[in-house]
Amino acid sequence: MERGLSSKTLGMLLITPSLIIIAVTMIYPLINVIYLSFTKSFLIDPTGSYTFIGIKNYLLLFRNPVFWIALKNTLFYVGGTVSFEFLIGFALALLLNQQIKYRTTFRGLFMLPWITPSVVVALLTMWVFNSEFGVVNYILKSLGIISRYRGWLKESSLAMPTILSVTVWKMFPFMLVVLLAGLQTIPEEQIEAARVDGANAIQRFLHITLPHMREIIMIVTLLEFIWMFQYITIIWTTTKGGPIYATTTLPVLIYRSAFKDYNMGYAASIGVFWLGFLILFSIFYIKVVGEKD
Amino acid sequence: MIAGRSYRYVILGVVILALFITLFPIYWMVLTSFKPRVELFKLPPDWIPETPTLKNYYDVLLSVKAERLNFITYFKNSVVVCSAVVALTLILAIPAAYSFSRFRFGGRRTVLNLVLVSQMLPIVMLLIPFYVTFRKLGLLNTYVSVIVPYLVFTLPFSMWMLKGYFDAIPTELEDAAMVDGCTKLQAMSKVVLPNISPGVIATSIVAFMMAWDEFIIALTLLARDEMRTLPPGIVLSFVGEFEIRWGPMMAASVIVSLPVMLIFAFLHKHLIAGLTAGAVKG
Repeated sequence: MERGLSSKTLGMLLITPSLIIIAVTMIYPLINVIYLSFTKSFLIDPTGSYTFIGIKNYLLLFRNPVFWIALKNTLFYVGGTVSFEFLIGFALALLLNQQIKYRTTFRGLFMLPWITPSVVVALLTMWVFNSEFGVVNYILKSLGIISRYRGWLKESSLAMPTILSVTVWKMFPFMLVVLLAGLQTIPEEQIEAARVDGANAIQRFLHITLPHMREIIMIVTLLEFIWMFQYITIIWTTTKGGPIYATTTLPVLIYRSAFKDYNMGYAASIGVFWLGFLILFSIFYIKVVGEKD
Repeated sequence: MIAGRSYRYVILGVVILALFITLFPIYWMVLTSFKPRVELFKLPPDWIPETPTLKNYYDVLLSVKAERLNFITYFKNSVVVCSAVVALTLILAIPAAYSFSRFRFGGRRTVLNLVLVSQMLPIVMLLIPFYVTFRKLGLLNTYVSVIVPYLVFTLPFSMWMLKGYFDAIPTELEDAAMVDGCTKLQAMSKVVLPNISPGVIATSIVAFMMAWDEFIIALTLLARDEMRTLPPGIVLSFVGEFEIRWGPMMAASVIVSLPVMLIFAFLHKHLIAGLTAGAVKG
């Protein structure tokens, strides 16, 4: 049946180029960075020499209050964005899944924030939330919600909630679209049968829709959680982690340590901690949410 | 029946209200880009431009006086980088996804787990070895220095998306072609590949958007102004100025958004099908 190559060999041959690229772009840099995290090494050091210092970077890290602030900010930012994106995305997906006209058009229009490049969202944020001329200040004051113009990105109590809301606005369409696609795979007859048996809307949602959506919900929320850990564009463009440390998340802290303080070993240790945290979190999450009981 | 209809109107009303709030910031961006300078700071603001102008666009695209804004150069760099990333991603991901779909490597979740782990790698952390290595090789400030790191996020995600499309094509199709005398490789390229063109389109869009959007890698590895791509280019041109030029900044934002918006306008069905293919099938 096979001519020349056996199918197993062909299968291996086809993935080899990708595996090489993955090795060069992910595995090698990762090993390099893990090694760096146990050394004292500076980016501007012309000799490029590393001194092995064991776990000292990690000890310094755990003793540094800024690291704990950044970790807390990251969890607040990621937890907040993923929860609100999910709630808004799922609610709108349920609405759009009803028999309404122009569903495809609505879905397409809701996607626009997600299509808009992150840098554009960041610049737009600076403009609409501007403390003197921003339209948000104008609208909220006209509605009587605020009594005076606020510096949404300048006041330390407001900067993080502002950036969080903007991120939710940018990212919820992804949830909406994937969850809507999931809802459309639920067989109509199942819901109809439950309706005939006298199940009300809430019961149908809890006993048919939710179990059916469990796997999709797990995958999109986990992916979004992982992505939001990385997401630095809006923060770096608008506040650079400030005022003081109000919007300093882990990626901001790593970037500052590596490319402003040139302390590569220290920056690497933050990254390794983060990766370890995400791996443990994901295993736990998949166990708790993903496993069918 | 009447209750059913009014219920439908309520839903429609809520959806339209949500859509209005969602689209307002984008409307505000476009509106600002057409406002002359004096109108920007008017209170209450104009909701429709009183005297629309193209001056902001002129300043961004054509004005030689607009120092430090090499917009056309940034645009060209972005197009080169993104095209290269899309091409490389497809060349690598299509055979790999096919292989993952047709041959068993580990369990059902292998590709998904690979994707998850690859997305977990902190990009800002990987920037450190990339920076050091590219500096050693003299590759900083070259297109290569950003194209290679971009594969970190485009490649695994594309493999995952494409695998979903290959999975949907019955193996009988290839078997039939092979009975007719094709080799396995010919069956793949002549029979299977044409059938996954929607998947290839969707993957190209996602890879393009990821690369078009990327900021922090380009900011760090392309320090020379004439090599910069659009995201770091426009941020460094507008942010941190003593007086931010909001009009031209919004005009630049509109132009940066246009390519992805246009692609989306024509191909959004493919894109949405692609995004959901992986997740819905699990």
